[in-house]
Amino acid sequence: MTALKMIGIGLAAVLLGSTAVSAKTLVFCAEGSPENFTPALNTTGTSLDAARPVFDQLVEFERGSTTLKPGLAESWIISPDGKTVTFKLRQNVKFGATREFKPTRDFNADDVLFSFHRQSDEQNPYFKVSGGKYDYYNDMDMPKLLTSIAKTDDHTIVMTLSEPNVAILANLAMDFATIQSAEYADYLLKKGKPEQFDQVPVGTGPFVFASYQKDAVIRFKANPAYWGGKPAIDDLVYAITPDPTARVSKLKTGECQVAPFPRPADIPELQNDPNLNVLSQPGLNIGYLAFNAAKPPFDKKEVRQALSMAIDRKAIITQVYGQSGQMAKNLIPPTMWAFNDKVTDYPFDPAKAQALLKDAGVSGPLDIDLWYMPVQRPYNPDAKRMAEMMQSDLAKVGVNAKLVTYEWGEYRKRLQNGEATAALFGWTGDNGDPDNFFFFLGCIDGKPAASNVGKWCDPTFNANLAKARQANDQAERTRLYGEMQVIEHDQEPVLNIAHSLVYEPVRKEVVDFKMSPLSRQQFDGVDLK
Amino acid sequence: MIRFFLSRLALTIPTFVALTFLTFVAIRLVPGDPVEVRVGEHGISPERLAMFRHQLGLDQPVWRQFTDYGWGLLHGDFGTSLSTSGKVLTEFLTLFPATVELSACAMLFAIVLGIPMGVFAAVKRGTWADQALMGLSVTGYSMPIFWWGLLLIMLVAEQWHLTPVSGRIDLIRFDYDTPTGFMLIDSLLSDEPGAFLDALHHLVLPTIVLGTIPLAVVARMTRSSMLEVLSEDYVRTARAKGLSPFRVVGVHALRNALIPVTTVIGLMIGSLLAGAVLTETIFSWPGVGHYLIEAISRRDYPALQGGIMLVSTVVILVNLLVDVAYGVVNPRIRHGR
Amino acid sequence: MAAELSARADGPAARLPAAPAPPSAFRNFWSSFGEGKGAVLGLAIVAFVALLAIFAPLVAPHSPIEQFRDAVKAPPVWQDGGSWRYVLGTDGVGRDMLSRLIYGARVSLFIGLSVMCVSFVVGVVLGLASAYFGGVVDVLITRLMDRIMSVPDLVLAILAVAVLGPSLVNTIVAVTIVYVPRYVRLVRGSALAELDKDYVMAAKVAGVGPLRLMLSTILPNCLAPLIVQAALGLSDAILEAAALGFLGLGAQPPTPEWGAMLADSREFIRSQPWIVTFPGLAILITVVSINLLGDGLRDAFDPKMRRG
Repeated sequence: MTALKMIGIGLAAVLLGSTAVSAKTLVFCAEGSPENFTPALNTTGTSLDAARPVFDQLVEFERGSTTLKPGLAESWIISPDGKTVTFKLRQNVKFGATREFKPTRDFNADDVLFSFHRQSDEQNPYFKVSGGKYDYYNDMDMPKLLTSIAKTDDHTIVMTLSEPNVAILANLAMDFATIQSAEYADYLLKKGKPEQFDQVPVGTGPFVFASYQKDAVIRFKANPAYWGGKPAIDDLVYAITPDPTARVSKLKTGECQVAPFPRPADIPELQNDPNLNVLSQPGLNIGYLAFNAAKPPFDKKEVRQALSMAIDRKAIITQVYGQSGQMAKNLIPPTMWAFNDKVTDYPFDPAKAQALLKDAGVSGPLDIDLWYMPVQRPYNPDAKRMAEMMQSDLAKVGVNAKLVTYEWGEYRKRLQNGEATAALFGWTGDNGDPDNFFFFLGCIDGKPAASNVGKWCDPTFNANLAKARQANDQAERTRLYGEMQVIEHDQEPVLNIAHSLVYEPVRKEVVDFKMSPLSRQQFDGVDLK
Repeated sequence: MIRFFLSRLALTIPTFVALTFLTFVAIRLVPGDPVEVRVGEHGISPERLAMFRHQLGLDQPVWRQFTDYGWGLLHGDFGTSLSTSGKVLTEFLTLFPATVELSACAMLFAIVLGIPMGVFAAVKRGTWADQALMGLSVTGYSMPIFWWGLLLIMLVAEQWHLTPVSGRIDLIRFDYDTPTGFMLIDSLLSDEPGAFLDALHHLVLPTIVLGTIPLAVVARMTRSSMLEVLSEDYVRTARAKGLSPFRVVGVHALRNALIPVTTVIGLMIGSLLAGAVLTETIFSWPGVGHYLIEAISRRDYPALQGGIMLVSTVVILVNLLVDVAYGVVNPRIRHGR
Repeated sequence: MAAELSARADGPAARLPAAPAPPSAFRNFWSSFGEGKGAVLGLAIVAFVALLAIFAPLVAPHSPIEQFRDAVKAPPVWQDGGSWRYVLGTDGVGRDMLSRLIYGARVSLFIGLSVMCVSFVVGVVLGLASAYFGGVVDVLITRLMDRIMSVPDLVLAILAVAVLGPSLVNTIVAVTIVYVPRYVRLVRGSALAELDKDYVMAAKVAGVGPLRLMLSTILPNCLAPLIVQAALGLSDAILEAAALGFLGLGAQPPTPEWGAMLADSREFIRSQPWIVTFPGLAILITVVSINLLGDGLRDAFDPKMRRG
């Protein structure tokens, strides 16, 4: 039998081939292929994770937290009016070399200018390369916020802002603000191959890019000249494994050492495996059910409250999230400093829900569309199952929910156009600032923003949102956000369902791997036993 | 002969034109927008959306987009992927060897096991062995392979540790260039000891999963075709002449019985590629089936269009070759029709 | 999973010399059908599944969509913690597995039969038109069918569903698009062979109109391979629909479609394997028995096999 023979040969190969490997290699089972290696162009965690080993930012997040620390900028000074930020750049920082390109100079202010100009200046030769979509730069409102960026000498950068904004440093620590090599950009431009800039990355980070085969593998080597010290592992390999079942299997057999995004159902088994450590971290996210306040009868807050009480969220969390969910009462997760613990959650009370519906003048069966997204999101591992459970709960209080879904892009578009009556949706935080959560229920000039899928506007809520953005004092901001959470709870434009707990199983031989609340994968500082 | 080949080749030209047009139109009808898909929960302002649609040429009338695309095709340009900004042809060519390697192994698996099984069943017609083999074969081609793949990973790879779970090579132990993209060939070229066996080892499970249906088909076809041949007069004559049964079956009968089997094998290429879509998804196999599925979910029009075109081209060419080969074997086809 | 289909269409079935069956053939047919034990077994199981599907409300112990929150992921009766209340256990939201499988038979058979009927009719019309009119009509139809067949079937089905949006009806449409060319080719081939025969000439000379000639003279004579193709096509349609369901492109929740049930429960393959095992087994058993039945039909229709 050929198959058996092949298996036999393979076994022999495994036994023979287990010669000692001196270099320390860490294999990470990545969940997909990156779109390219320039973080500014990308929005998916998959692509950002793939570029991260190679790059640094001016300001960086402490590994495993949202605390900021100096990166390529050694220090910074914010002017008293809050509108000017001056960065002092780190010196003697080397760029990694690739097969083709050997850098001739150290990192300096020109690299910073290039990295920002590429995203902001239409005249920059790289502006349109690789599609030129700088979504994060625009999402974070940088074009409006950043009036100018200039260098005063080779190691000093001055940024001028249009208004004081407390979140600017956190923004600059995000991946889109990655610093790339201006020299490399010029080199490729002269060779007439600018698109290669985004395919073969050159950066100052802890690792140097070695090779990439689409849908198969990305290889990195430790950067011996890294300014933060050479990483403990020598080789970093991303084995691209889209199927979650396969990822778990590979982890268990030792084909990889770190595997993200296990399915909730697999977690108990992983926890029982003596070879694994299952790390977990409260995710900076919220999964919710949005009611469209622009569509009757959801314009009445009693109806929204009634539906919130009719849904058994506890059962949903047990069955959909397993151990990886935490019931949510507020928009922001309890780990955030602005969290208002005084808010009392709605109970699960179908009888009261029915009474409320009756009081609101809803008599007889109510027909609604219940939308669920067709994809798995960090804040919602299985929207379909969640919707099926809600459908069954709502039927018990006389609400007939028809389940509706669209292709993911289409879903979002229609949702933001206000076509849904009730829809599952959610948000994942980008930088740990509460503003990054509250803004999505905001209104601009009294009209709901696109991200505000509940199409709900409240003047006090919006006034507070604007005030908190400019306030420098954290106590003041806490007060403002606390008030907003009370309003949000009373008005119930969305039913907060859960903050997911993010799990990441790693093998026991992995030392000091830290999960990030921002769902970033980071391998400098990680060692192998 | 050459005229026959050329006429068949000429017939494929309108096929290509129609194919281009049909896929092009079908893909534009798919709801969803490539720009919308990628922005996620953040959303995008109408101005920026309009700008990108303009940049990508999506605001042009469809006929205009089509003529532009056709013009590109004539120059060998299959377009640029919207999600990776890479050339579709280049991406396809880097992924295609993986699919070919897997399909070829699956086919080989099917042929090497299927033909002896079929012959055996035909010779032992009616015995329990025949019935068992044919029972297995029916089960094989009724197999929902997405389920089959999951079961095999669970049992063979994880419980019994007989094979790796997925991937093409042990990434910790081996690191070498892949100039051809065929892992079996590259591993031999790399002169890293054990790499070839390791690559082979990784191929075992996906090969079995993708090869199950072809195996069942080949076994059945061989059996029925063999039965037919065995009842022909010349076989009876050969038997009557006292030739050894082995010679009768192995040489005289098998050679003739294999003609229809060969055709079937050729025709299976297309469906093998379809099976590869599921197999590659389950085994994280970096091939074109996986690429097409990704392209659909990302609404990456050029990648999807180019991918379908290229896959179909391969199918058409293979069918053409089968057709011609059959024409060589059987002159009646060449002159008929 | 389509490999064997094209194989069969162009293989033995297509090469059948479609001998006009003698009028008293039923007994003859039945006896040769009964020769293959597999065929009888297949028939029995198909009949059983069909009965389950028809009488689902009477047979199923529970509603297929009712969620028993107190018994989510209950194991089947023979495992520790199983109970007779949920014989095959419950799924990820507490719906009774057995009931869902029984109702799922309805969905799968409905999809399969719909695809079969529509492709049969469309295939006959296009195939006969192509054979009879020849010329431009023939070229157009055959070329279009070739085009469709040159795209790998699952990719084509996915594309069709992507255009139409996922739903039960669209699954049927998508799978039909994939399978129609096979019927068209088969009908066209058989009809062309018949058109050359003397009795058709005679009928033509006798002044039989084209429509009548096609439908009452030629069609009955190509029926045997068509029936075989239809039977085997049924199983392929069920498999293809399950594959679409598996990719999330089939019937929408809470419809108990086997492929979708499998996909929804994929995550439990490690922790609660029965939730994944049963839908897969249901698909496998149904498809195997339909195939056995189809093989029996072909053997019974095929005089050569009968003789040998």
